[in-house]
Amino acid sequence: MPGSSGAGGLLATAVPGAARDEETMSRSVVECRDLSKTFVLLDGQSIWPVILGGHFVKGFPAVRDVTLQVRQGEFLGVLGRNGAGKSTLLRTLGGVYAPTSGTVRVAGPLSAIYELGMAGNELLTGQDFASRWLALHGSGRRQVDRLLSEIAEFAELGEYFDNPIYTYSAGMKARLFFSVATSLPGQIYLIDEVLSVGDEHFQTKCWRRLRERLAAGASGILATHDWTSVLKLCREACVLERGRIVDRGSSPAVVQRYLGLPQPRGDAAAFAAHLPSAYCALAEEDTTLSIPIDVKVTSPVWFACSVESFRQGIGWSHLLQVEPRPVASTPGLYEVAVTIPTLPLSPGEYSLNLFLSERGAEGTFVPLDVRSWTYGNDLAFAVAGKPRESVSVLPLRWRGGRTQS
Amino acid sequence: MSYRIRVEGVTKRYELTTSRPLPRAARPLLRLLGVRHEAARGVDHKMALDGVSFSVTEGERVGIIGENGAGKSTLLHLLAGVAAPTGGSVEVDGRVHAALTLGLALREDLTGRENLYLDAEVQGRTRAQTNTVIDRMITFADLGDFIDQPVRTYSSGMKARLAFTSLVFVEPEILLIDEMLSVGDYWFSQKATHAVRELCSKGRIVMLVSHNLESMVSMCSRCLWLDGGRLVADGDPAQVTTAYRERVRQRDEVETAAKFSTQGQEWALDSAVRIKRVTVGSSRRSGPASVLSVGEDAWISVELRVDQARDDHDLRLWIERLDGLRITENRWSESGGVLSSLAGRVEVVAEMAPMILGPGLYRVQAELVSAETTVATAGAVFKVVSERNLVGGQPALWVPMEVSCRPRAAPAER
Amino acid sequence: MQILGFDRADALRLLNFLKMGLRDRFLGSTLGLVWAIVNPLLMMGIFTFVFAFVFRSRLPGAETSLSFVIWLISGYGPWLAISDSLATSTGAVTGNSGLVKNLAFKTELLPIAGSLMGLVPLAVSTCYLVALLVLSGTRPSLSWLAILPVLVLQFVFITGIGLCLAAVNVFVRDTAMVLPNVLMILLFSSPIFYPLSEFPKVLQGVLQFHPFQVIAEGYRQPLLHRAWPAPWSLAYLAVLSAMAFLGGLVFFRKLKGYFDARI
Repeated sequence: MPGSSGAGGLLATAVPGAARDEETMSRSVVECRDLSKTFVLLDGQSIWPVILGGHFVKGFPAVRDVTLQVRQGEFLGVLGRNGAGKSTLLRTLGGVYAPTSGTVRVAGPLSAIYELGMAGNELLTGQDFASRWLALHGSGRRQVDRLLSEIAEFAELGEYFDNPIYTYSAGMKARLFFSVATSLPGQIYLIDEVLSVGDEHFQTKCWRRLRERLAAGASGILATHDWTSVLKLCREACVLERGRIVDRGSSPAVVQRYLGLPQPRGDAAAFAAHLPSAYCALAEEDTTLSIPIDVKVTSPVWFACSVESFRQGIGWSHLLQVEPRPVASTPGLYEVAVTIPTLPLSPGEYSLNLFLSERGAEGTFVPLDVRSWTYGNDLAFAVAGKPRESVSVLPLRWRGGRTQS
Repeated sequence: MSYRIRVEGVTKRYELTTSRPLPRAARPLLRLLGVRHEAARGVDHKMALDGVSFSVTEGERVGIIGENGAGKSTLLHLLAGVAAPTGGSVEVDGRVHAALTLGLALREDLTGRENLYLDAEVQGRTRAQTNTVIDRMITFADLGDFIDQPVRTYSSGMKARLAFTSLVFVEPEILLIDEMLSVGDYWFSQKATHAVRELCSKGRIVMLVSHNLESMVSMCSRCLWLDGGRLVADGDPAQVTTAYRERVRQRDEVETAAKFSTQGQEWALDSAVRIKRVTVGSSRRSGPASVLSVGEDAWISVELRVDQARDDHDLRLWIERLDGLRITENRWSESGGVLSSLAGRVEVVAEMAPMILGPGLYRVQAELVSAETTVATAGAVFKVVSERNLVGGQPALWVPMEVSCRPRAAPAER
Repeated sequence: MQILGFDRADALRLLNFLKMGLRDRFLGSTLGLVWAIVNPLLMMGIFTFVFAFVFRSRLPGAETSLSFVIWLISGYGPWLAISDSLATSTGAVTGNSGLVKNLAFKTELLPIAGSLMGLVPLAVSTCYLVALLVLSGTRPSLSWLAILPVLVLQFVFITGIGLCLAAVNVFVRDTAMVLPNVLMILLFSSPIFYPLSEFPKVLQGVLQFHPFQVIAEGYRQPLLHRAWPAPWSLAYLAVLSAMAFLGGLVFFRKLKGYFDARI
């Protein structure tokens, strides 16, 4: 799996689609053109002429002129704050709402999680709910029976699986619903904000399942306000604001603009002009990175850095981190040396992010100068060595021998 | 008047099936009529609370902690008078304001603004009183134009924000809050946390259920710890939460071990070489463990039975985070290990000193490889925990890195 | 293949909704489906008792009260099914808002499935009726099968009205509240509790075309008189049903685009 990004190139070249043939690349599974959805508002109007004549005057546009495309084998991220229209967009794409104008095309069976509200009767047991959901999504009896045990295991509900849903806690409901809605493989998944529920353990399982589905060729849309999920799952993303798409592109670029962090001016301290734009190192060797900085003030300047990666199929991962620590407090030119013992990264391209900051009120850090992908100016970090199938290589000390029996 | 809560020997029993018990004689008849099996079955009971006693006096802010299903919510329900105890007595002097489930009280057909007024009326405030704070409420809810749209058009996050807003602007005497600080998006949850703190400082008595132990320590003057429906500790928040953390860790250890003991994915192609067991442990404690701390010295042990090893046999270790991120792939031969030189019961140990995996759940899988084909495998699951969070993010690897800084003589030298 | 915009997947889904409807209605009550049988049975038992033993009502020219009860129930049974169908289909969309908001499917299926729920009381009353007939010494006859086309037309007709009411009920929730009263008025305005001949002469001519009268006669002729219903009445009912169903479907589809304003 080739590394795909880093440096300034991270945003310009986006993330290349690894080794995939043109045909599957170009096949779109969800597509909409100039899609608008206006909710009719009935308040104040007399209702009978409306029913008999079908005239509605007032409307609230929740989605406006949205054009997007999801290709086979990819998840598209839709970022937006609460109320931006994410849920409405998903429901319209999923066919729950009829579009007011524009066209929607979905090629394939859909599994959608619009909200974790249960579609149905709380008196049903978890098992009943699951088989009902599956039946409504066109599963035959045999498939339902097979999937039920899988769902029971994934949701970890134990004996509660046979108890009515009204006895469940919110977390249990969420677990049941997620397990059921993602139990059918090979579907197009429309997912709204669900990965923020359940305990940590269940969240990791959800991620794993989504990644497995993605690796097996599933496609879908992930609508969320959490940009880290978009980075983890989606190659491309767009930003929805008041029902319109205001930005789109490769996920890291979109997230960077979505965060909209102000670039510090570098008055008090800055990375020196001759800071290299790329670093390289050998995997599993002790590595030292030299970073030239220019301090102009007489107060403590703090340094921090991180190594992150963006890879096809894995998405964004945050691998190494140096916590902020003071490096200098008098004006002058300095060389910061970061030493990483037996560099535990597998060969590939990484993104190196550097931060200079000063201590603000209440233990916060105020950035003085930044080289980071969130600002669009990170550094490339190339690691060479024997190719690996994992993101990193742990330094292990082995010993072995016969044991006395 | 003085406000207080007194709870004495309270038990609460729940029935776990929907149906009422039927006379045994009626069951065959019902089955004949095609009534579902469960209906004909008996009823299971669950003790949600079991002999809980405590009292709270004015000015106390009480946090309630405990694992899921420990009876925290049930206790609040009893205090709020929503449910009645099966046994014992609950006395509450004062007007109770309970925030147990967000969003249930919202009227779907009314706008956000109307809902805020309605809620205030339910709490016994006049329209004029509400008018004085309505602007602040709307600003707090931060719903934009949506405030004048019917609630039914809201997303679930927006509903939670609205419901939360109507809670924040009350003048409670006794306030019961069930965990809900994770409301809405990041920006709002910051605001909500702050608001709850303020709210707690206004209430005469506050009882708060939360999973966030740190906020518990800073916000409460007293802490109750419920476990399996029983009150196991009652006292200073710092002490109780520390004890609770230790218990959670112990239980975690047992549960992780139990839950994943069967998930090792063990098999072997031929019986000449087999992996008998994979265990993980810390050098600080003896024997295998399933929970490790970041930064301690740890080991992975692979026990093999080698009857006849071939020259090309090699041992490979995978470590995978449970969300699917493959952390490492190491081979014994890379460090000079030769399996074919050994026979009989063999133990190969890989030391991680220090262990640099970040907090999370991991699976380690040992594989015997022959000519790039796996011939035998076994695995184990372990959990990594950390006492603290790193500033600036949660990396996958917590590598201790050294940072030094020295002045440079002149600029622009290459 | 599509019929009126429905395909095979919709038919399967309809079946699922029917099963769901049956389970949901009786879920949580210990006796489950038993109520579905006991309720109509109880009602008809009361009628049998009241009319046969208390009022001792007789049909003109008939010798026993039992024949009156049989006549009454052969009309009341289908009517029970109709009122059940209408009540269920009217609330079908609003009562399943969870499904409507979270699943992409043809919402028309909900009132259609709701209307088909009326098959349960109909089956029960028919069995009861057959039992009474056998008790009164009538031998089963092949002509009884003539009720089948009537039954089909009845459900097509009621489904059409159910579709309209379900759509209206989304916007005017009072519909479901008013319905039982309207049904009660309809019941006593139609010749179900008393024969057509008891009505004033002026009304008799008009009431012949009352859909409920036509349906009731459709059951009574084969069951009581071993005769086929009049061909004109079948043709009339067929036209009426087709119009009601198509009209209901068109009306529902026109309004369903606006359901999201109220659900």
